[in-house]
Amino acid sequence: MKKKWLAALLALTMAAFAGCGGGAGNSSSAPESSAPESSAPESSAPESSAPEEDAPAESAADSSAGGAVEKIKAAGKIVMGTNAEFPPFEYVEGNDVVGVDADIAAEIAKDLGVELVIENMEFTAALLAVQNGQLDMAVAGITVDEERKKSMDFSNEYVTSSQYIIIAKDSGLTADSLKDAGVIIGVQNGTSGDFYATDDIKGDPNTEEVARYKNAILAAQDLMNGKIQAVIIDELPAKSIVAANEDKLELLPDKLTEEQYAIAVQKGNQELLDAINATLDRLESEGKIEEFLIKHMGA
Amino acid sequence: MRPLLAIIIKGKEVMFESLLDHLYSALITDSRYVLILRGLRNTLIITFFALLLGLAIGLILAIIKVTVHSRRNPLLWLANLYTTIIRGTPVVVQLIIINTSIMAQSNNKILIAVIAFGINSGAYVSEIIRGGIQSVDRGQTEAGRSLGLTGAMTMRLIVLPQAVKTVLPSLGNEFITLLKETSVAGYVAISDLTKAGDTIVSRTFDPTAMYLVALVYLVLVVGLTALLSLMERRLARNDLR
Amino acid sequence: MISVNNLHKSFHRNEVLCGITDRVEKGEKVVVIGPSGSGKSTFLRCLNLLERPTSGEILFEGQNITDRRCDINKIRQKMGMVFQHFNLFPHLTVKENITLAPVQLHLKSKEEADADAMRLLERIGLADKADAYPPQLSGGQKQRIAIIRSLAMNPDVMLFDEPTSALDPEMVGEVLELMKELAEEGMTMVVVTHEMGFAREVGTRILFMDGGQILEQAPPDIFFANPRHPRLQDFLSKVL
Repeated sequence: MKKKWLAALLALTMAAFAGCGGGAGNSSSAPESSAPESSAPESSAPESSAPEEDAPAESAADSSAGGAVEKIKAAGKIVMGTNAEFPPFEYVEGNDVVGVDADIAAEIAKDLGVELVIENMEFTAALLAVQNGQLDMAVAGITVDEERKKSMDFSNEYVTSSQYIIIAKDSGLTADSLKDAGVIIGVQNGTSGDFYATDDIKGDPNTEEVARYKNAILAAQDLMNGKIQAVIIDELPAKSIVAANEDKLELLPDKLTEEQYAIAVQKGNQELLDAINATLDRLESEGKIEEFLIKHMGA
Repeated sequence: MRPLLAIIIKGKEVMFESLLDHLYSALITDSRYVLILRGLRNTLIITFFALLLGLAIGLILAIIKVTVHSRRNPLLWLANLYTTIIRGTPVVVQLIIINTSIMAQSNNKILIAVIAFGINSGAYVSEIIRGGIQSVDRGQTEAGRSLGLTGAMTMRLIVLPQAVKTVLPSLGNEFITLLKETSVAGYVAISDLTKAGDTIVSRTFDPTAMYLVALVYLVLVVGLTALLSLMERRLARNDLR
Repeated sequence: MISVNNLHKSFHRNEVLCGITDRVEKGEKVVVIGPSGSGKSTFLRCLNLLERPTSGEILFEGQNITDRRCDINKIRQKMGMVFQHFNLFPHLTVKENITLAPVQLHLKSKEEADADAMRLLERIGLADKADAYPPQLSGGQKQRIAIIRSLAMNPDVMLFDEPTSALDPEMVGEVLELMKELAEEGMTMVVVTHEMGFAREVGTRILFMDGGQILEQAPPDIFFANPRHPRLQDFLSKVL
């Protein structure tokens, strides 16, 4: 687990520069990606021998009337944006972005018969870039919410998640005590954990008691050093982080929210959405998503 | 003609209204301007104090580098090691290391940022000042010493005032760089100006807040540049050579 | 007053001074001449330790200044030095140039130092330049101010390192005139120069250096009328 921390630190160092560019950048230029573009097939190769893999892809292609999907096929690649600091859904291993989302995206690419290109960027930058059409899709453990639905379209939900609270071991904090003045909550900037901590716990959009980090791992480091009192992050990353630091951190049992992850595409791109949903349905029926989760939780 | 004109006017109105909408949601909704102002305040505090710390560190290192002549002197060795390490690694990595290891026990994020950026700037400032000191004619030092002034007095009263004048433009550049570099402070949850923009964008899904942040940086840099050229002109007044 | 004993100085492997021994008595005006590269400037700069000798001893008023325990800053207060390139401090006014060292070293109060500076400036007719900056002055004015900057320290001896070599010809006279006045007032002086007229008129003893050694020394009348060393004869035939 130590090694993974190091790899993550290295990856986020590289991603920082992409992040600055993406965040402050203008909307017309392509998203600046720093992390090497990785085509995921390598990591998902073992699963690729599923039966009837062609059927859903064809039906998806049939339902499309040319346009978005045609363009992707003509380009021979589908571009996915993510923020590889969110294990087990996306993280960096060696030079590649891997994880549950990368595996799912590889299946989508395979069904479309194109290559998968992964752009690793800030979470908020990925959401902006998919709205502008700079990315074909954002697959980044994105929680579906009403606010986001106004600016982008979402696929079928593929994972159910909750926000969880991590505290320092034996600190005695409870979910209720996070409201108290002086209790600083660490979150990843712009995630639903950020919104929950800001709006629901502190109840003040300008609170100074929510510390917004670039990723949950940095927040957890500060928690272990006593700089903040809690970290709120999605269930599976929370479990990964606590598992790696069992002597110092503990997970509170409270489920703060009930939420679903889905893949985001540009508003109005129904065609691509249909193709994505076809692949998601297939993976669901084959039990593949469960398989991906088990594989990457153990990593 | 009439309908076309009407369309153009209508189009402009729509554009204007949508601009207002964007600005409204970037600044007014939920009093988001508070985030920007707080971020601006933090950016200015961090830059200002990091600048002072950087100048102090840079000055000490520069003096060590120009006055120690023995290559085996441990002070010189340390000064060179410091410069090599700091200039050889990205500031954001230094910030993370200082936040998570060296100052792991500190809760004061602003202080952490000041120290991280000050230490970083010090390495660059030391090289700038060293160049400035070496650009002052050796005869100046000899004249000072032959009047019986000590080495330290000669440095302080004669060499440094002249060196400062030569290095002012480079120092100005360094300060402008520093101001912009503090934008990575958000990495470890320091609410600087860039982070404020980022936080607002994550709510609005609209980059307008970042454009405003860019504008604020631009105004700061242009202002700083004007201030520096004013200082340069002041200092150049008595230098007619 | 100054006693030099078997002075050697090398830069890297190049020996510039090869055993100089000499005594400068109070009130003497010693003029050092010789071809370029003869070591005469290095010799002068060793006298106040701007160059540290490789070996040998220098005694000033009975104190061994080559000894590491000796406080050279105190010694230098008593030895004025005038450079070829003036070395005025360009960021300070003329008056500040003159008062800087006496005030910083607490030898005079600010008021005393200012009054002394104005008296010295009046003496050389440059009182109106007190608040000017050095870059606004002519070469001759700069060098005369450099001389009174040293005088403001009330030195026991004045060292001159080719004080007129960097001047336009029409400005040489005013500087030599001031040096002559100092000599007449009894100042002990060691002057490295190419001005043979000045050497003849003002010097009480002339040293001829070549190859890092003193080859000949004599009072000016004998020195110029009756040079004995062939290299001095050769040198004089070229410069006179």
